[in-house]
Amino acid sequence: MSFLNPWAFLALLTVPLLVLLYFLKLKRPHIVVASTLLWMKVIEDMRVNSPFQRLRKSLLLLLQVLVLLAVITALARPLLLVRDTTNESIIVLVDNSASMNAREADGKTRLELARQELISMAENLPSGDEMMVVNFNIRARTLCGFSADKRQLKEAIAAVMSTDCPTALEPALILAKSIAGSRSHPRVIIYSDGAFPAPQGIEMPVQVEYRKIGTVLPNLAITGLDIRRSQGDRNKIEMFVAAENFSKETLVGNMKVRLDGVVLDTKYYSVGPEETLSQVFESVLPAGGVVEVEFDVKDALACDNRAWKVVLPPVVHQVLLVGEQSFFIERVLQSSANVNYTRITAPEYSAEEAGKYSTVIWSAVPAPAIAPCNNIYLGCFPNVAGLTVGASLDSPDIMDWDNTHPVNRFIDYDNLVLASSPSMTLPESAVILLRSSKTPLVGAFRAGGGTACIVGFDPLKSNWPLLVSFPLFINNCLTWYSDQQTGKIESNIPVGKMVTVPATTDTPVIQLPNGEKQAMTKNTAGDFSFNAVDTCGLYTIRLKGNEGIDLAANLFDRNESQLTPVDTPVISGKAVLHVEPGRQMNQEYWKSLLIGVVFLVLLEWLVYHRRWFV
Amino acid sequence: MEPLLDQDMMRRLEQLTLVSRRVSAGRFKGERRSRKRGTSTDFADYRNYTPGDDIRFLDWRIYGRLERLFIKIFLEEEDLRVNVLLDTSPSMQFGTPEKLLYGKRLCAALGHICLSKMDSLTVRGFGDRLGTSFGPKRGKNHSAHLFEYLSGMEAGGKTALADSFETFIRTTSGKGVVVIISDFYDFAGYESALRKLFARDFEVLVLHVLSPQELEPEYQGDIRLVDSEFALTTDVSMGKHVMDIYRRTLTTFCDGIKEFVVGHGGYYLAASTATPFERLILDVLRRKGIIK
Repeated sequence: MSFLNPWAFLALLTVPLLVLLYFLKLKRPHIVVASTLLWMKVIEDMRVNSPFQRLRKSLLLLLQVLVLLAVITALARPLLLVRDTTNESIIVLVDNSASMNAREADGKTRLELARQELISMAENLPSGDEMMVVNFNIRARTLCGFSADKRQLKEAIAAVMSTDCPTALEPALILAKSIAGSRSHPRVIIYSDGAFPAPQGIEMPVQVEYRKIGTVLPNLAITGLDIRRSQGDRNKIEMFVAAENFSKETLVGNMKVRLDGVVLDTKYYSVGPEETLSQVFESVLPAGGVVEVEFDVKDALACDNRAWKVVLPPVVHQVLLVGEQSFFIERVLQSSANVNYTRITAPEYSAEEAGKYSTVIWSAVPAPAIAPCNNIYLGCFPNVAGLTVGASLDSPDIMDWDNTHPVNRFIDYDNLVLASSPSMTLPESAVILLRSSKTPLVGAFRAGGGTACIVGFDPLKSNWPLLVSFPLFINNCLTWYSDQQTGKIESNIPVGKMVTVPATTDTPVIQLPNGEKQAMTKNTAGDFSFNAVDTCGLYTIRLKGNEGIDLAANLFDRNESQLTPVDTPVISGKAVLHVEPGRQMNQEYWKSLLIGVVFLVLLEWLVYHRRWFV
Repeated sequence: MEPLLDQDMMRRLEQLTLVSRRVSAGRFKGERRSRKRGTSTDFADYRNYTPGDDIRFLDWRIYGRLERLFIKIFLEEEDLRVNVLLDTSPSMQFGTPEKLLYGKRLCAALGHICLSKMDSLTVRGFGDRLGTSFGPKRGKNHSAHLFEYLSGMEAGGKTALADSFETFIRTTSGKGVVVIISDFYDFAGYESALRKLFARDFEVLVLHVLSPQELEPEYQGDIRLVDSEFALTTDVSMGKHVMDIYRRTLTTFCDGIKEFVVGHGGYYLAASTATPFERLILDVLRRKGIIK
């Protein structure tokens, strides 16, 4: 028997209180007798022979204690595993995330153990029952629909392949929920080590059971790898490595840093139990490359011992500034090492000229055009459908900004004071980056083959150029636009994420870390995608005529690396209990207990009024 | 108010005699053989005639044979001194039938037997001290007074056997039979009190009166028992186990009194008020040899 709410047993502390109150508040009827001479001897005799006689014989008290115990037990929500005799439709959700690759003491991975149990379950599937197999990591995939065919089920179970993906139970639960609704006796069993964030907002129509797989295992994991170019010297890179020891013992060894396969540096490490290690490396890298970090440790999970990062060559932004001379804007552009800019006036602008630049900045130009690249409009507005400009508002307040957008990275608009700003309406597809209480102030949207970022107010009619946020905004815009244009294929992704290549004439081919090559599939938007980045490592996308584009997939997930199986996972606030395999079901008994309480109270009433046995 | 004894019962009682195992000297001439020589019809012995003797008792037949004068000596018949001590403490007011009423009827019956047999009867009630006395009286013409005396007796005081018996001994001369009718609920114990009576060589007859409610209490649940005399309280949670212990304690209590009384040469009889009174007198007491 197990309990969904064992904390309710704290209320057991009230039982001695009840006994105390019973004796303190016991109202004894007075009966005058000839003499208490003999009764005193009786009491003496009882005290000598049995000090707890009074307790033992007080049926009323016993019943009250029983009622209290039954109520407390009902509050604890007892569960009993009972044999189920109905024909069931069993939906098996098998976790094949990274943590299931952990190797147990017997040499088998958790996934192999799960498969073993599932095959046994399929072989012993009672007649009339049917089973369905779904595997899940960050995605859920049905391997076999409801079937009573044991061979088919075993094939499906054998097809559950290991991945290095993180876990998200929600997709699997949503799938199970939609399927369970069509069955009369559905049953959902999760085979997992419980290494997933608690799903929220999913109310399951059936009771979900959990079969815990695995034991506590030691593991050292790389939890972070970040590389950036040095602010002082763009030819240098700075590497930051974070690792965490999830075991109960100190782990020592060497960590290697490779650049394009060549060992760059080796360092000795020693990480205490449940401690974090941080290391910084520096290297010269004028062009791009692939950095790989590896810890030579023998632990239960291998995929988090290595990490890769693709470093892109430094980008030089070609910027065309259209407008009159502007000290503040030009000062910002001059101070950026990776920016080449040219300033022209509005009449000198031509579309052909603009094609040479990655970004055009329009500074207070009346009726600016839309260049076929990225556009930043400062105090002016292009003629775009959906963009309307209204009357000027005096001293608009700063109400809110989207601090999750890359353009607003590290920016605080609190000290920004505006003299005026026109009221404007942005196209529906626009993202509002800064707003006052009456009108959007800054917004961004796609237009003219590039992007358009509209700053509605004239920066020179505000204190913005004097604030740190102004150069940050310009630099963020340039970087983000650059990423939008050149990084359409993300170079560094979490494992499990879909890779998308913008539409091309030829079908791109992706080379997996194991050397296998697969053609990417075209989606409805015309782009090519690959949805099987299931292992950590370096992938290469090859387009016809182009050299390969590298992309690195890493785990960096503490949930997966901490190899302590969860005893009681929680789904939408409800604990899911571990169950033993076999045809059993958890049944709650609090209702029966409450019915028992009613009978006990009735019995107590009878005993009290009839004075039975007390 | 119902009379203590009806006429039919009184007639039947007049045929009975209270048995005394001892032959003790009485004060007045009665119907019981005495150690004294006297004027009864029972021949006892001869002795030589001395001048002054009553010549009516000369045995002329012996004179005819031996020509010597002998006086016939007869046994004296004297009365029996019977003292009945009736417990009138509040504890005797309990039970159905009430123990005190039962005791009064017992006292009336024994008293009528004694008065009918010309025994000297004294009746006294006692609680914490000895009450007023009825008697000593002889002759059944005093029975009505006895009944009147008993009917007017009221419960009171707190049981103090030792003090009451001490007073009785001091105010009573001679020997005789002492009948004690009581429930013996005395926290000071009964031993020292009874020992005083035995020490005075009284022939002690103990009638231990208990009600059915005391023999088999029917209390239930958690109760507080209040002592009728001393206002002492005892909390009891009734149950089978408690009842078993009570029965055992009561048996020990009764057996203790019996052993003590019999051990000192007295009579002991425990009587439940549930036993019909007539049956107790005419059957039980006769079978026990207390009356004949």
